[in-house]
Amino acid sequence: MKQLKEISDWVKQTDLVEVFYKNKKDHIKIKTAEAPVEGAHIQCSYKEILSPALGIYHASQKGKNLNLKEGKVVKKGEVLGIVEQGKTNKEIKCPVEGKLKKIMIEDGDAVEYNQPLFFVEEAS
Amino acid sequence: MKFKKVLIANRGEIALRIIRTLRELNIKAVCVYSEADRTSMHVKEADESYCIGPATSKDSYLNIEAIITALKISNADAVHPGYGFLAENPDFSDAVTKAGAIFIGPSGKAIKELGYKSTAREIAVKAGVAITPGSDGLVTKNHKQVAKKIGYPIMIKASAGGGGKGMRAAMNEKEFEHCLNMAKNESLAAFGDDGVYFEKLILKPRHIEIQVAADTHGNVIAFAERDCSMQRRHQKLVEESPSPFVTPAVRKKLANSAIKLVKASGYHGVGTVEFLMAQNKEFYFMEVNTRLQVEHPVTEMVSGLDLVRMQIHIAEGEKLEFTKERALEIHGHAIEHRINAEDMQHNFAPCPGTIDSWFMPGGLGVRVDSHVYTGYTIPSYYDSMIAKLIVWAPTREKALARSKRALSEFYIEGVKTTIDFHSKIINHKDFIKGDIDTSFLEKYFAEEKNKNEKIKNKK
Repeated sequence: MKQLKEISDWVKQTDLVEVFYKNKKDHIKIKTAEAPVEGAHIQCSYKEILSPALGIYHASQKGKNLNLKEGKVVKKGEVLGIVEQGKTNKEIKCPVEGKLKKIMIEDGDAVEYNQPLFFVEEAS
Repeated sequence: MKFKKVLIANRGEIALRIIRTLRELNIKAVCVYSEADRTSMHVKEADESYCIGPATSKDSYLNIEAIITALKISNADAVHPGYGFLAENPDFSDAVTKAGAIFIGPSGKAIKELGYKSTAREIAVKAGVAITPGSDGLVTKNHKQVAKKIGYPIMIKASAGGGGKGMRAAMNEKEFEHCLNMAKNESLAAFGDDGVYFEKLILKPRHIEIQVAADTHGNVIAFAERDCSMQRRHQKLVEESPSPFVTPAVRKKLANSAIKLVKASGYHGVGTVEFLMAQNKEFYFMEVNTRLQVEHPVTEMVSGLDLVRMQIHIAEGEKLEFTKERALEIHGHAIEHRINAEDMQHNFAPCPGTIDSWFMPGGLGVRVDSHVYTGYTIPSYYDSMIAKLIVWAPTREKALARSKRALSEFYIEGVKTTIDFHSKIINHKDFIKGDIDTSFLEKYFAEEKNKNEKIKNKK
């Protein structure tokens, strides 16, 4: 019960309208009463970089570790790793110049098509 | 081997249909989906799901490498291909096997043998199953002479074709060249292969098909026939079982022919052997669909057996649970209506859009297989079928009455559907009598057009 209250209090503080929580056999769905019909419109000033394919993410290029760290300055066209799908490797290229603000994945993670991998703050 | 987790390489109602059986068998369901299907019911119902690519089928549901990657990531034991997409692709079957999982369906080799029409005909001839007179396999040269020898009217069919694609009827020599080019081009565009063969065209035929199931121990069973004569441009719209046209003696012959054919090919899994039946009840082998069919529920309703469950058990290496006699038992009568989001006033143009309101019929003997719900948006990239309405009743007469009732209860707002069209068909005197052939709808539309013009002229 206490945990439930904690979760619902937390949901109220965020702009989330619906939360699905699963812990072993328990699962619960919480919806806020003021949930808008159309869903919240979340805007982000950072540029998201999506996975080009379903596969395994590697933080390397041609076998060389890319040593990516949050805060790193990235150039337009810079390779941020590859997604391995069977025999094909798809490069992830940074579409803008800026600062790598958030790295959402680790080397070796399975990623889905269009999953956000990085957030970049564009240089003005 | 008992499966713990199965990946479904499909979407829509069939993905949901497979999930239902998996759940009853306590097997986890892994779904794959395209970007356009993020809000699809099969994704919501799955135990695990993976977005495999953009909306276009080529890059998602037809992308073998992406699906095999999902298979490896999810560590599923087997893959169910559903129907359409990669279900009859031998390379996909082999790729699943190569990845160390089990393909719920025949091997690539068996798909090539029975699923490709020209080789399937060769097997039928060897097994002593009657085929329509036609070209001996692919026609690669002297097309016109071969056609003349068979005698017009003839049917030009793409070897890799299916679902009516790559198929053209040439009524005489004058039409021949044009039809040949159309069939070739269509097949090349849809299947990347322009091989064709010819068949004699049987006038006023009925489309009768036999559901079969074969295990890996050499046992084959056949079910009572499905009558799928109600077609528009070779797309089935209404299917029923048993056929009002088939007698018990003919039924036995049909079942024996289908079993002979399957036994001659080393095939395992479920499949459907399609026949054309002439007005004198002679029947000719047409093709084999090496997968589950859209219309499989009518067989499930009259036999009382779950065909997806059977597929899974066969793939697990088990022996068939049922005897030939049990499979042929007929309990009552079943009719399936394919409800499409299409505008029948405008040549059945697909009508994608958002479902504002959705209320399904129910009650005794009514089954609806659908992935649609209120608020769902039908993507424009895929098939326009939104539901299969299947009714069951103890007799055909009662089934017709139930169909009428269920169709009148089906309430969909937001998109145009073919429900009214089905109501018209089910009230047509020839359908009520069971007296139709595959050209029924063509004639029906011509009559309707005439009627409408007469009304217009009177005004």
